[in-house]
Amino acid sequence: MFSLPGCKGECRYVIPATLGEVSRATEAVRTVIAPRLTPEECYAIEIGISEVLTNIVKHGYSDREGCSITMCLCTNERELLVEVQDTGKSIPPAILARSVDEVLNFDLQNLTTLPESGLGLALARLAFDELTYQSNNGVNSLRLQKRLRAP
Amino acid sequence: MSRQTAQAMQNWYYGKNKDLQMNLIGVTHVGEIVVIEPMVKRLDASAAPAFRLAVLDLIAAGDSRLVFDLTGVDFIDSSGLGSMVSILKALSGRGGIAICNASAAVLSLFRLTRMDKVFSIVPGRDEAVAKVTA
Repeated sequence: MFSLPGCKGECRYVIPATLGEVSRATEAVRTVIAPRLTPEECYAIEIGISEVLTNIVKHGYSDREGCSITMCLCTNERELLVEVQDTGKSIPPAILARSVDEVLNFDLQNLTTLPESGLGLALARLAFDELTYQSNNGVNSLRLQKRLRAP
Repeated sequence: MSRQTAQAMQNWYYGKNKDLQMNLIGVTHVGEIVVIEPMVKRLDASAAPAFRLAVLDLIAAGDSRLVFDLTGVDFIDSSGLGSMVSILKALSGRGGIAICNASAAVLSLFRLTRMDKVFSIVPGRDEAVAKVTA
């Protein structure tokens, strides 16, 4: 996983890939990230992480039992980095390529086409400044970067 | 999938999760209005499906004017939001939904996704009840 120069604090989680454990892990992230972010940013990041982890459980591992997700959070003076790794099915390129506007530009007046799912990656992109994804040799790595204000 | 199979799966899911569903929402009737309080702090992917089913049961029983009182909810993600959209669709234009007592954090998701233009969101329970009564 990544190594962040001048890392002031690192938290590494190995999360059993179940929705219950994802919920617990995401809630635990809140205490790690809160000191350097506004409440709004903190909440947005919590949502982004929840969405990413949930997608891995539901789509990457298709709710298979016995799988796990590795998540590393690291902060230095200038940024928060989150890296999430899994060994499930990778995110389809077509999904990865969809812009936030494409995903969120649904017709508010049309009840039947209001989205019940599929917003997760867009919400993660909105919470972070950069999102990069790699899939190599069966390992998927999603890196999320948030620039921080000076302390 | 046939309707019978889908119903059988739903019955299995309901039976398997009946205890969870029964504990998942608090239900109060105010005349024809049903006020639903999620009893979970986090309406995320781990809780949203059971929440959705619990509310769909109320709709199937005849309730159509719903208030979601989110007093106890401090986190909602797209799964929780999606469950509310699904419930709205299930009403098929009957009755309505109003949401109240949403924290600033919870409201932020509705605004981010523009779902604050889809759902009626008001400060308190009395306003929400009035909203769906009208």
